[in-house]
Amino acid sequence: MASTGEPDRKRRHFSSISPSEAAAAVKKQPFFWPSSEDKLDTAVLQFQNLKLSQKLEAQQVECSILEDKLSQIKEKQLPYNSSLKTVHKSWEKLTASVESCSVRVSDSSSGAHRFVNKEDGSSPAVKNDFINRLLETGATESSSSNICSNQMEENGVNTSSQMTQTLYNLVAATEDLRCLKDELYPTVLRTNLGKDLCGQLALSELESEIKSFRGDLDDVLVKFKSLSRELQSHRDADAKVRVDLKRIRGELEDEVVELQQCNGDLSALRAERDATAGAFFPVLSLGNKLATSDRERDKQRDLQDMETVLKELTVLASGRLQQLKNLHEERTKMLGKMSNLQNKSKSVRCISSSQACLSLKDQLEKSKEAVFQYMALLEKLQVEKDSIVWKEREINIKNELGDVSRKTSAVTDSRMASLDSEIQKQLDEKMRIKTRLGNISRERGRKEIFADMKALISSFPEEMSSMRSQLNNYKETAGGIHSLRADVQSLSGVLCRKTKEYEALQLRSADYASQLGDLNATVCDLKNSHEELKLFLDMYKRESTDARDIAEAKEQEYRAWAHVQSLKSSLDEQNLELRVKAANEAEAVSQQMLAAAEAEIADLRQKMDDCKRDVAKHSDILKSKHEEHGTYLSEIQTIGSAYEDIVPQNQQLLLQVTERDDYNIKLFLEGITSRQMQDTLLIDKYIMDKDIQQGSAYASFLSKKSSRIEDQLRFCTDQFQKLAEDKYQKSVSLENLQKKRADIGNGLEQARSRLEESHSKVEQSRLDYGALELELEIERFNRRRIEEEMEIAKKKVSRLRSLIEGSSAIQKLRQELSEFKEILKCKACNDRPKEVVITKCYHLFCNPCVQKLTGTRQKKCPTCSASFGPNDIKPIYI
Amino acid sequence: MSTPARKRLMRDFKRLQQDPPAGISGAPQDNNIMLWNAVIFGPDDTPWDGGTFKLSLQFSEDYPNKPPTVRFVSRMFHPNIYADGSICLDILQNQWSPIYDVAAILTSIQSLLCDPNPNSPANSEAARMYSESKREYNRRVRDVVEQSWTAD
Repeated sequence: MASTGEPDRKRRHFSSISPSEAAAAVKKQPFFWPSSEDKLDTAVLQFQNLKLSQKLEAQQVECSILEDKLSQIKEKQLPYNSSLKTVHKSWEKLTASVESCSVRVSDSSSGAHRFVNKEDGSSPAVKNDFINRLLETGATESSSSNICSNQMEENGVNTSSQMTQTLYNLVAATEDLRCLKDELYPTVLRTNLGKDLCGQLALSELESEIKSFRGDLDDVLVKFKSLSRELQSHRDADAKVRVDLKRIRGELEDEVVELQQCNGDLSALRAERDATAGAFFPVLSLGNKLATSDRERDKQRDLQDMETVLKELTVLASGRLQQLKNLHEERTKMLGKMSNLQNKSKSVRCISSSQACLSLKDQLEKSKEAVFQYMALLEKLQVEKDSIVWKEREINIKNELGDVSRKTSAVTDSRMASLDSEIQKQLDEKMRIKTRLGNISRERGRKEIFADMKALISSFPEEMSSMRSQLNNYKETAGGIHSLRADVQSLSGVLCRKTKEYEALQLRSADYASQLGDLNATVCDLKNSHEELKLFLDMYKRESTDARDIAEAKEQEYRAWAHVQSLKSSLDEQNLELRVKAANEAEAVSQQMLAAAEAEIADLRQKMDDCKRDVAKHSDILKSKHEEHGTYLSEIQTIGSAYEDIVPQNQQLLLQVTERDDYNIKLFLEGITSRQMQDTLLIDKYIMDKDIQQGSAYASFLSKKSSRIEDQLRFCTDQFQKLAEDKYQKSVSLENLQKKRADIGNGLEQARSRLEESHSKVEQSRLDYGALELELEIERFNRRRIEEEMEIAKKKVSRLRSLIEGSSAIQKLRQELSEFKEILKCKACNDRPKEVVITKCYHLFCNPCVQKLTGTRQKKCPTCSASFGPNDIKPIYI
Repeated sequence: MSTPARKRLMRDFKRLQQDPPAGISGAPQDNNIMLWNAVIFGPDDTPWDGGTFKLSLQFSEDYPNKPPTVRFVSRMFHPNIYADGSICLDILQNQWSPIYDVAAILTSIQSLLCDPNPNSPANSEAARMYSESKREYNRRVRDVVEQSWTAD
């Protein structure tokens, strides 16, 4: 292909060099036509080389990618390895458990020693192998997959051998179980027959063994399940890995093809180059020859290097391929092993689900139930025993408590005795004090003196009161004297007043007399003046000779004056007379008054004399009384002195009395304190008594309880005995029943004979039966007749009933009608039928109601209170 | 004599006797069908449980287009009942509808007992107590219930 493709390529390359490039080349070197072809070739070769080198690089990159992928795959393999490890571990556990099971089986059953020995010998070896294998896998995982695969293979072989061994062990275990079952069956039978204790023990042992067996079996099953799951997961992982491998292989093949192509190209290029070297070197121009040869050499070297690199790469690729193949083989082997394991597990499961096993399980369950029953019985008995023991302990504790309370009661008794003695002492003291009090009361003489003194002291106030009454009398008389004195004073006052009045009257009379004297003097003066005037007149009469008119006038004047004077004098005289008369009358009056006053004075003097006399009398009486008073005072003084004498004595006596009283009080207080002490002691005693009573009551209660508990114990023991007796009785009754059975057998024979007799009777009765059947036929005939009649009657009844039902239907219809009428009635007034509709809400009412509503302010539907207008009302015809 | 109101009241009475609702009873007076006496039993499982409360219903000739005047004769302690016994209930005032009959009124009042509306209080003390201290309110209600047994 390379040879055939070479010229084509060449041509293609040539043609592929664009015409423009060719033109450029032509333009660049127009003068070297022959060498331009070579140059073009070299350029083409260089171009090809470049391309190849690029390809190589791309391949290298691809190689590196592939390596990365491989490493990734390896990494992916790592978790699988770990899971494989876990699988191995679980296998190990499984084998160990199977071994332990087999060991137990061997221990329990005497007939399976050889298997155990085998297993004992094999199991450690298996373990070691497992561990070694695991270690090896862990170590070789990193180094190389080739070795790993080999070892894995070995391990697979080992595991298969181990599997077979474990399976053998399992089979052996099942066989052992079967043997055990064979052994168990008779033992169970024996236990059923009723050997209590041995049977129980054996059963309990068997039960424990069975439990362990069952647990182990369950574990094995669970492990099998987990293993199968793990196998499944492994298988999935393997499938994935296989797919990956396929993909990688395809890629590798592609790469190999590419590499081959590259090789072909390279060889072609080499051939070309050789051709060019052979053909064109001499033709080449001298200037470019050396340079081109150097370049060629370089190229050749590069090519050689590249070839070597390519070879190495191919070697590597082949190695990788080999490794991948190895891995694939390993995978297939592993898969095979896994299928083997699965088959084995299936077989084990089949064994476990075999009929023998199931039957064994059933038997085991039955025996277990029996064992449970016995266990329950035993537990009950143990519980009873425990309760009895506990009660005994309680009783012991209570007895101890009773002892303690008894001790305390004894202590309290002793205390009570001591308190009693104290009380006795206190009583003695009290008695002593009482006797002393009696002695003190016996001293009677002093008391008599006291009484006398008291009488004396009591008599003093009486005397004093009498004296006081006398003194009061005297004081009253003195008060009388004082009143008399007051009268005297009032009288003297009256007298003074009267004398003063007298003096005043005298003074008035003197005044009047002086007035009279003055009047007389004035009268005399007037007379004198009158005489003088007369003299003057005479004188004037002698002188008035010249003028008679004047004289006459003067005479007239004089006459007038005289008239006036006369009138005046007459007036004066009249006045004087009047005055004199008044003065005379006043004088008379005053003289009369004087006389009266003198008479009054005389009376008053007489009264004064009387009063003085009275005063003298009373003063005499007073004096006498004073004298009496003095005597009384002296008496009182004497009595007071006597009293004063008596008072200290009395005080002394009182002091003595107070001392006695204090002593008495002390004694009384002592008595009270002693009484209080007695009371407290009595209270203590009472409390102690109560405590004792309580203690005794508690002791009695405890003793009662103990007795009760003892009774219970006895009752329990009795019950136990009774149960034993019952058991005995039941065994006896069993015997009796057997006897009875024998009796019944005898009775059966008798009954058989009776049966035969009855058979004969039956035959007789059969004959009777025939006769009765005839009668029955007749009866049946009659019955049919009656039934026909009954049917006729029933028809009649049904007809009548239908009539009645018709009436009830009418009633129903009426009811419905009323209901419908109700529906058709207006809801508002409940009276009229519905006539109109409110189109807003489609509620129906009667026309009057709606008209009323439309009359109101708020037009609302009565049912839904939706507001509506007058246009919303429409009549409706139902 | 037989006005629409009287007719309607007779029908109401008939219906009340035929199908009496639980916890209420009512009847017109012997000589006056426009005046009814009614008894409401306190709703079960509430503080009003066991109470027997008497009411008087005065109907007008406009019935059923106008609501009756309903008053409690028994002494009450309720946020929506005045001291004189008159009731503050919307259907007896602006929410009245002609389709309400005596049974509907009485059942509404019965439901008002245990479901008061404290937003329109007629008895301010009761309303305050109802909203602030329910325990005290319940105690007072129990007192009223006990009084309703003894009252004539």
